[in-house]
Amino acid sequence: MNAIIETRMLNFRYGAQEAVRDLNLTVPQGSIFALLGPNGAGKTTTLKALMNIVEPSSGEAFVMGVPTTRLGPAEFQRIGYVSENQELPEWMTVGAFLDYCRALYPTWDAAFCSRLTEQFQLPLDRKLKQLSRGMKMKAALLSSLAYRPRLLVLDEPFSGLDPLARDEFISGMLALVDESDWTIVISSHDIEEVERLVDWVGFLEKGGLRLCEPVAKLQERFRRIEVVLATGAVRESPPRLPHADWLDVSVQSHALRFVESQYQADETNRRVQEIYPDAKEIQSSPMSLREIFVALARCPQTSSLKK
Amino acid sequence: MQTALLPHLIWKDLRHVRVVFGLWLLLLLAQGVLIGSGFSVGPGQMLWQIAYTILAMGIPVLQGLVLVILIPLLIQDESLVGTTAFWFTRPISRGTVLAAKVLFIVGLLVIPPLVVELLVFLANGIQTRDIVRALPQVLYTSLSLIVPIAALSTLTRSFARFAIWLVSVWVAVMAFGFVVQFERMIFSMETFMTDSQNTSLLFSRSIAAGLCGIVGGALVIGNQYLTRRMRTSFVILIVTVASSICVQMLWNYDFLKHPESAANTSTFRTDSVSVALNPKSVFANDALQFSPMSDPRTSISARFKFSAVPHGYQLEIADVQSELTFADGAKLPSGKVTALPGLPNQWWASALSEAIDGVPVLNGDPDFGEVFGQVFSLDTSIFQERKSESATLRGTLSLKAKYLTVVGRLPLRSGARMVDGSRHVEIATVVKQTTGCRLILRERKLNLWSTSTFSQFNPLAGDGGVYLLVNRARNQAILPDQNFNFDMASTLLQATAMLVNRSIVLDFSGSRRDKEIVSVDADWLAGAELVRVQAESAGTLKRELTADNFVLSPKK
Repeated sequence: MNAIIETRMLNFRYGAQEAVRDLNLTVPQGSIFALLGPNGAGKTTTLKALMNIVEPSSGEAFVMGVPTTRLGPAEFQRIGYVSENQELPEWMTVGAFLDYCRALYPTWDAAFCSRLTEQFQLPLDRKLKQLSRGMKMKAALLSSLAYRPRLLVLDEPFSGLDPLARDEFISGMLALVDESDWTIVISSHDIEEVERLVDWVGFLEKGGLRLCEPVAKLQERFRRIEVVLATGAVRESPPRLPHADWLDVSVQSHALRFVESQYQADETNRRVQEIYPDAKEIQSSPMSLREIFVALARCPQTSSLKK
Repeated sequence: MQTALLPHLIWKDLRHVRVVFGLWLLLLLAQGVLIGSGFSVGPGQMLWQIAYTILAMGIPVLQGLVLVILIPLLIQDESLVGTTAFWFTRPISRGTVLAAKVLFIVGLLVIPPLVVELLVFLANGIQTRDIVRALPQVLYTSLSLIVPIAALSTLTRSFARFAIWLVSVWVAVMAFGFVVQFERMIFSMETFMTDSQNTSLLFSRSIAAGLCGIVGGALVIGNQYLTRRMRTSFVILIVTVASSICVQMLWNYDFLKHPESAANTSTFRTDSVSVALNPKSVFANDALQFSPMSDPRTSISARFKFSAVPHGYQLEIADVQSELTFADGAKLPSGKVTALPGLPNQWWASALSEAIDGVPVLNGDPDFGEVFGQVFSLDTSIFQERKSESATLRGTLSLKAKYLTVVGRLPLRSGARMVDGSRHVEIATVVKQTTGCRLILRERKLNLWSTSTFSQFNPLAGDGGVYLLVNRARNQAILPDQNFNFDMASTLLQATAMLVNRSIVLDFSGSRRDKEIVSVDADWLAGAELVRVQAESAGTLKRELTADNFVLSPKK
């Protein structure tokens, strides 16, 4: 696996507060990678460190094989970065803004830019400060796509966008994904929106990486399990989790429910039978990224969850 | 550095600030036309003077205010603060952005004022030598405003924050300066007066402090662009402000030697010069004191009479160190004697006469040739105790020698012109009156740091010069009356503008203290010419002074 982004024991502190802690992250080239986590998990700080906007307190990070602290014009000609908080030169019209950007990139594709302008329905003669937030995000995205970057980093791109704008944004992205051989890194706490896009996911919590793997594999090993128990006896929740891989365990009436984070049909069934020999039925159902995210967020961090 | 990108970035910046830059350029041109056209208002036209002064002083102030808006707009378009600036993740190196901003500032904000001033100087016939001296002064003036504004702009991300910082720093520096000046005024009048000298290469504190600010500001800008380490930049900023304040207070090295110490004294034989004090002229008065905590003091002044001063020279007192020895053997050293620097010259009739080939100056004050000055300072309580006692005064006088020489002659008619270096004088109007005549002169000169002194406030002559009417056929010369026609516009402008056009009104009645000495009628004026005599520094000398039977408060 060729990594386009790699961090080794990356740390970043704001004063005494640890925003990123011992982060070892690998983003495979060609992937669409979602960096997920609750607010304050360290997603934006991580991306800023990767883009050399902030300098890490310790550790190393590499983007396209270059240490992030040495990222310069040559690298940024192949990187696109769009952030919810990015301050655009708002005095410019959209057209002037694109003209300004065009001169910075030797690989600027004017035809592609025109097509995207049309697709995003961006008014070229309007000043950026007169645009809605969604339109500004589109303008920023367009200015980061038109030169066909190898790596596109989107930091909370859906924040502040209304549902229609989000849908347009994602549709636009989906339409483009197939066109180029690029890597996209999206940070978001809005999992449902990115689920449609991504094929890899990293989950950050309190500055640390909790998991990092392909979405398909993640969804394969995470299953919601419901066990129907024999009637008659009153059941209570086990005082402690019988297996570390079981998350969010609850017993209601005659049913045991939990999330299996290492699902393998036979093995899971065997474990359930060990504890509840009177189990009458064991049902497993696939989980969405959002459900996995919630289950992970609800249970304390355990190293065994990492793959 | 991405050299190919520089025009692109500069063009982008120019489009961004085009309106404000256009306004600034307009103000620059307006100032150039106003000063360069040679327009000036006569001293009698008070309303016009006020309007002209407001215009001529207001335009540079407006220019400064426009720069305060323009530079943050320029710098903060590629903000260096925070983590959200658009350009951080674009393929533009920090060095390239720095170079683009520096080129913009130098090319569009520093060079245009230089060019405008150069054109103004050329249009006004300023000599090449003086232009060469003036251009660094123009450059310094531009940079001392631009660099601090640019430095603060690199440390702030919005105009509002910049404005708050600017006002805060300005108020802090002004408050500190006020406290220091107030303390000096209260406790050390001498230092206060020295500090009040005009900014010039002869009194270099302000220039040194300004240079300190420019260098420190440039370091802040460089550090912010190349490293974006805010803490380091703030440390540099604080060190710069502190250094500038310290230099302003403590700097003792002047970039140019004072004319008297630099002057060649080889032609001035001082061996025979002696000084005596007229004990009957001794005069006591309460010393001017600002400190309510100080004990009252009394100043003792007297007339000094100089002998054997070579023809054409006159002397001024720079400092007096004196001591009294009373009959009972008690010795009393003088406190600090205030020698107010650079007051208008008192012209010695004999020296003036020598300068104009021996033509007598008829209405020269008889007191000329003597100098009235402070000789002693003591506590008023001691003065009251000892004021009638006879004592021996011994002291050392530090003296400045000046040589008087004619630098220009003009026939008495409108339009007559004289050029003395970069000083251009033209007789605008000759008004012949029943008793004498009134001349209105237009004077144009450069306010150079290398030459400016306190004496420029002399409304009658300025810059160590004086005008006389000389009638060689009758072997008579007269000084102008001591009328004080205050020219507010030129007096204020001398503090701000480099090229000053001013009007001088000279009344020649031929009288002294309302008593006619010579009849300045049409016949007399027909054979007269206007002569400008200039005092040039000729060196310094010290003389010992002893006065027996010296009484602090002699009975008149």
